[in-house]
Amino acid sequence: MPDIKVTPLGAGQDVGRSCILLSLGGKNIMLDCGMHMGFNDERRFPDFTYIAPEGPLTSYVDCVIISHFHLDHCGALPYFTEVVGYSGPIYMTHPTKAIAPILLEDMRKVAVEKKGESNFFTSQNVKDCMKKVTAVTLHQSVMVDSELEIKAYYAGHVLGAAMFWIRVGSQSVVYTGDYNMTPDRHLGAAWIDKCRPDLLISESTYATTIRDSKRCRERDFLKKVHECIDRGGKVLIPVFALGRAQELCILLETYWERMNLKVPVYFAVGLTEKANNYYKMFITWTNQKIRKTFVQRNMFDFKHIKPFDKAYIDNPGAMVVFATPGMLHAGLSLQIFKKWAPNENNMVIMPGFCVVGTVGHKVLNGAKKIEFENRQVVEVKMSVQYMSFSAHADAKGIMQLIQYCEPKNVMLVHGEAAKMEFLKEKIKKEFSLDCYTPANGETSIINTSLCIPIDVSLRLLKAESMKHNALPPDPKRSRVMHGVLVMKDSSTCLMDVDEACREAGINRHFVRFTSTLRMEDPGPSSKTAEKLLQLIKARLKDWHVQLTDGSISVESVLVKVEGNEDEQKSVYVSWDNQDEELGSYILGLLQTMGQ
Amino acid sequence: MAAVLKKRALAEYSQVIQEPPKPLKKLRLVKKVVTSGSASAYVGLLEKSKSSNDALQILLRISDSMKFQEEELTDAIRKLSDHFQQESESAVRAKILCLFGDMGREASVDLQVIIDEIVQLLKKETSHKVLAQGISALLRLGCLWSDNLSLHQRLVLVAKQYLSDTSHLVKCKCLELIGELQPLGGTGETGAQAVLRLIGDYSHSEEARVRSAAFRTMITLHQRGLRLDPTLYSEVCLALKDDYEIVRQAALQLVWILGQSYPEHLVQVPDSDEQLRMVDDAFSKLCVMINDLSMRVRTQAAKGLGAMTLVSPRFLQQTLDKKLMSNMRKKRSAHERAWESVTSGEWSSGKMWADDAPREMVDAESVSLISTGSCGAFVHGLEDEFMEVRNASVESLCQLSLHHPQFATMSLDFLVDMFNDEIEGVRLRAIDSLTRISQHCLLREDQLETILGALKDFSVDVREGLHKMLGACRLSSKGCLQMCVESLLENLKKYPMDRKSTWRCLQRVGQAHPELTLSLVPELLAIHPFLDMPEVDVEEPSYVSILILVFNAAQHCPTMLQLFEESTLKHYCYLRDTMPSLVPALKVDRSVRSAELRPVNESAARFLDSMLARLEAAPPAGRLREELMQAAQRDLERLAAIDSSVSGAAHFAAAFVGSQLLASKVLANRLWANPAALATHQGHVVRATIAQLLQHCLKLQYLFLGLGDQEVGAVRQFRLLVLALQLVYVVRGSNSSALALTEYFLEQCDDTAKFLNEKGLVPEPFVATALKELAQLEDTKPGPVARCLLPILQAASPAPPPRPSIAVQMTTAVISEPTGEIDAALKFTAGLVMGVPLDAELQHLRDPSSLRIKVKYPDQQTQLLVPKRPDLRPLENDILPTERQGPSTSVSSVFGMDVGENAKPVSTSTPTDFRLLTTVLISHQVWTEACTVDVSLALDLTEQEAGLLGPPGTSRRGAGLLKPDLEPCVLDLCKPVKVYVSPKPVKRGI
Repeated sequence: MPDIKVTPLGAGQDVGRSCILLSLGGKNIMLDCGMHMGFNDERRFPDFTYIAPEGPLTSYVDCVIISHFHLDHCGALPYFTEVVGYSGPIYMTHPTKAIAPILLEDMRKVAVEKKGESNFFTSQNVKDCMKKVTAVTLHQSVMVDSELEIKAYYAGHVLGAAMFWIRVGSQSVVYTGDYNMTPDRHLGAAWIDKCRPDLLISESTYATTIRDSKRCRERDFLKKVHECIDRGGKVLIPVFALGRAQELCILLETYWERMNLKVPVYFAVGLTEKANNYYKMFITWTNQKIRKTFVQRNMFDFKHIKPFDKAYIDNPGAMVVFATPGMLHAGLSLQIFKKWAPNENNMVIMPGFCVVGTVGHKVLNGAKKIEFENRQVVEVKMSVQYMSFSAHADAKGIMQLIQYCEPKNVMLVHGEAAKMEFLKEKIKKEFSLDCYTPANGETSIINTSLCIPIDVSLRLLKAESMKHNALPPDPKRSRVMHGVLVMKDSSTCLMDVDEACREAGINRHFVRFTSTLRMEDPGPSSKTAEKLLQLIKARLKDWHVQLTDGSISVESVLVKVEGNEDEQKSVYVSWDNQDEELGSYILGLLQTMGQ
Repeated sequence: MAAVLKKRALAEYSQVIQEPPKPLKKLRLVKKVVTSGSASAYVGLLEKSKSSNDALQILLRISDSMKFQEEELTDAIRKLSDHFQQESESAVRAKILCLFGDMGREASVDLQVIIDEIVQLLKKETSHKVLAQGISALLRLGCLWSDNLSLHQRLVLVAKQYLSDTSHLVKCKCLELIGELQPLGGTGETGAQAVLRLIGDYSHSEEARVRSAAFRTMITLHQRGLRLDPTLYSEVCLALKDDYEIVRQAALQLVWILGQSYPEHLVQVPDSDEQLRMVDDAFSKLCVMINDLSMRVRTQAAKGLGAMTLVSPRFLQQTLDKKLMSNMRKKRSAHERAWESVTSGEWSSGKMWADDAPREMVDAESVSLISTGSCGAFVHGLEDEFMEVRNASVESLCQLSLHHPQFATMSLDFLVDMFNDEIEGVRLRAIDSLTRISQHCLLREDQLETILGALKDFSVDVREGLHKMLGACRLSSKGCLQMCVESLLENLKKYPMDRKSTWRCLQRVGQAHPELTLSLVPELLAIHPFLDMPEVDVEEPSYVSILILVFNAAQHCPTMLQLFEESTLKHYCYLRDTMPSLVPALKVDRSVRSAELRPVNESAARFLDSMLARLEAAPPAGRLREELMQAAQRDLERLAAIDSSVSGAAHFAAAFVGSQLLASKVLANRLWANPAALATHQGHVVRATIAQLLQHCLKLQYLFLGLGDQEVGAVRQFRLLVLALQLVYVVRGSNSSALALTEYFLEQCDDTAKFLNEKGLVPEPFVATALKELAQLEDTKPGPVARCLLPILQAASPAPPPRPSIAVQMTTAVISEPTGEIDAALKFTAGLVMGVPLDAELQHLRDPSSLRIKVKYPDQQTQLLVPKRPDLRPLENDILPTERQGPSTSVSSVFGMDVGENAKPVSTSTPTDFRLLTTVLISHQVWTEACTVDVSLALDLTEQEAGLLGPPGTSRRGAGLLKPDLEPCVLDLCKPVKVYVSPKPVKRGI
């Protein structure tokens, strides 16, 4: 089947609920199995009934690949395996396998215990689901079955994020998941080799953005924090548990180390602590600096960052606190915010985007007074800073990845439709590649050229190689191999003629074509032969032309001049059917010689 | 019976001990005689080897020993080649060829024979591995005979023939050989240009390794001086897109070479009529490669950019360009925002979140997402994931800035950004680079602010680098200067150990900005128009800092002097006297100022000379001379202290005279006549004096740099005298064995005689007689030698001291940290280790490897610690950074992979001035109260001067502990600093 079919169940012209169905070479693969954080009804999971209206899906899906542990990429996995009932293989990297269950469990708790939802997967479901997962290492080629091969590449973004290269037969696809082309404080940049897939499925969150260097932003951030603590203020940094939080911690930790600061930095205990243990373990997945220094000291063994206790809120003096959640909409971060907001010495740094309606959003927009549910009004005198640290590739990064892996087609997912349009045009223009941006549920069909692999007998190859290497390489010179294509059962093989004959038990027959030309040339026949030799030599420069007892031979072509001293000469031209081309060329040459 | 036997055995044993010392001559004969024939013997074995494995083992042994007698070589070659023909295992055959290659290095071998043999053997060979080995053996042999062009021609022909082999191994080796040996001249079929074309063909090979080897061959040929054809360029550029990293690397180097060699050659731009200079095109090609997939290629590209100083500014400036956009709207980078806020005259409002809000919409058509040409190359390079690339980018940015002042201004922001890199090596390099380009750019306030932010850094290197940088840069406004001074003072408060470098920094700042300082003087010195402010303590480091700044500015701005108050002027006098190197001479009122002492080089030298001349003229012996010498020693020491220009020479002379005095005192002692008295208490005084003398000798020998032959000769002769003294004393006054000492003494006699002979110096009377007498002596046992020496010694009179040239320098050390003034004791758990930071400057140190940190505990236990090599940094004595490194033009210097994290520019001569920045490890058992530990620097000569200390092996040093009998070999370089420590007992029961 020369086609590759791709159907996004989620993340088609959309962010969230990543789930892409891919079928190539007769295999069906599900790329990511995420949930949508914005919905509370059935829309939060991908529509699995699309695959098959009813019953277990195991027979329809050959494998599931999870790119990283963010919930919009793995959130629906327990639902898919335990509720829908998929029991086939699931692949993810080791860190993802370690951290994903923590996040899933946390989300389940929030959904079930806080919001009181039923019809949700259970804690046991998460555990059972994780047992079915096969963990893979970077650059490890895994054969899912005899035909389907997958391989993970480093993607940056978060710990354990990977891009997957998927191959069936001669067709291959790269799915990037989320990735980051610029290194950050704890992770390196995404990297892929020139694998030249038929299709590259790339995220495109920042399709219309080109970002500034990270250093300026980091320096600003650190400067602000430093100034604030210098004047004895308290700094609140609301963060989401994993990913950015670690980056900021490393940033502050190294800065504290560099500047020899003694002001305490606290991290609100939560699932983050559990996750930090995994960060410590998966050092090989981090960036150069952390990897190089971990022998002396594991950078995730924070020396300056200590766990937070609620009693510390009222402690006097400067401090820096990381607290969840990131948008100041609930929990500890909000609690601390309420206490600290009225003091102008203090500062809150919002490290990411805030959804409309959250306290974070109001604060960012400059609200000076914030009213809470219980009529409580808090004056915001503390300074409010915005600092964006995002770990997605920008437009340049995406283009760079395309340049690196040289795909034949590109598909954009995980982004907004309008933004994709711009990038799509760019890709078409700059690389002249076909680019697809399917919406959810829409199937794109990508035509690929079909290659048929053929075995060639070693002898044939060696003989050709000897011949080819005899002369200095020249890219223009064609490489010809004479053989017999033998098709036996399901295998095809190119064989040497003799070998094939032997195998088939047939005697080899040669066919020779002979043609006689009449020519008028006075003088002895040897003289004529000499003339012809000169002519042929002049025309066939790179060939081996020789004269042996009166006949000229080029490969298997023989030219013989017969006749007496008189005018009429007959010239025999004879050639093997293998050298048909050459033979007829020489014949033509001799025929047209007179004209 | 057993007892008797034992006794007899013991007796025999002790007799062995008393074996007469070997005569003098023998000593020199005990050179190792080369045991011959080992390798040839193995070759013989080869014939008998049964399996290939045996043969291989034998061959390995041959290559280990690799010693052949001249006459056996041809035989060995023949045998080896015989074996080659019989051998079926290719590994063994390859090893034989490898051996042939090794044998070429033997002086006596006929290269031609071996080469012929190898060529002959290769003819019938089919194994690729063996062929490749054969070619590489030929290459090695060919290189040994570097001037034989006809041979090279022949080898190249052989290599060309094997180019048609199917294996990449053989092809690569052949190409390598052609690159190394192809004669550069010649025309026609075998000429260099024809060969170059042939190599060019192989750059299209199907095998990546061969392609890469082909390019590398071209590079080799270029390095050997062959002119490459500029038309090659377009072809090589295609190879930059190769799938394989090794090919891209080689092609990249070649592009660089071509760009550098033919900068003005015009290149057609594909798809347009435009033509570019080749250096520009190559530059943009390299810029594109900064986005390469492979880190090594990126690093190389980044390194290469730096040397391409001929590139046009248009291309250069693009390298820092990056258009930002957010959501299809144009956005300005932080640098642009900072720039605007300065030019518009208003400061950032402080409201952050919309500050960088994107402005106008961007035309989708106009945005280019793929970097073409040089666009944004350095932006990428500096943001790279790998330190190697970032380092190389910083370095290149700096080099290009040095040649393009305008570019320097642009790159400033980016270098400042790099101060925030996560790896210290990169930060340091950025600071260093900024220092180097600082004369090209004017710092704005916002830039300065970020730079000053890094002053809070905990790392000494970063801070001192910044101090150096600030000292070299130019500030744009009064505000800048004020900010700079404030931060420096704050830095000083936080890190008091930065005192010196801060002062030096402020000195330079003052010199460079007299006008700006002038306007700040009232503020800085807190001068009030009406009120008298309290006088500040002149010992206060921050006040001193300000004074240094102001005085240095006043040097170039005479009007400033009028502003000074009386107390300031007084402080000036004080500071001018205490730190003349930091405070310049000012034209202040004479009434306040005591007469300035000018350095008087010549007269000091003349004085020194005359003093030594007078000593020479003094009567050879007697009280008068002694008194004269004593006076001379005093004067010389004082002279050394006063005048730095002759201090080395004066020190040397003083030490020499002092030692002579000491020696004559020992000799004058009547005790020599009476061996019994020598062993008494008074004898111990003699012994101590001799030890002291020995130390003086070592000092004279090792502490001075730039001694001439004359001086060295004098020192050595004096040393001989002291050794003789020691020997006589040991023989007569003690009962310990003097065997080793005698041996050592005789050895020294020999050496000194040889030295004097070589340098054509006349031996002093004592040495002359001693040598003569000793030569007549038949028995070299200690007894007779001592008996012979004693009268000569007693008759000896001190020779006049040599006249050292004023270039002589003495090794000195100054410990600036710890200061020894801290009252609070450093506490640590007894038995564990505590680190005390040590900061010292060493001048004129000849051999850094013998430097030790000497730690003396109150219980008289002394430890010698070897400082870590990287902690000892060479000082660059105010060499202007630009002069340090010209643009490098050779390929190897640009692309050599030697630039590591901490690679510093290598200076040409070995440095003698160092800064030691290290931690001294202190450890001890429990003390009842805090005590002081002495920390000092010393030279440990136990290794060089092992013979002085008696027979080797008897008094080896163990675990860094210093034994008292080794002390003469440890030369103190400075006075000890006291560190107050208190080891606490371990708390039990935790």
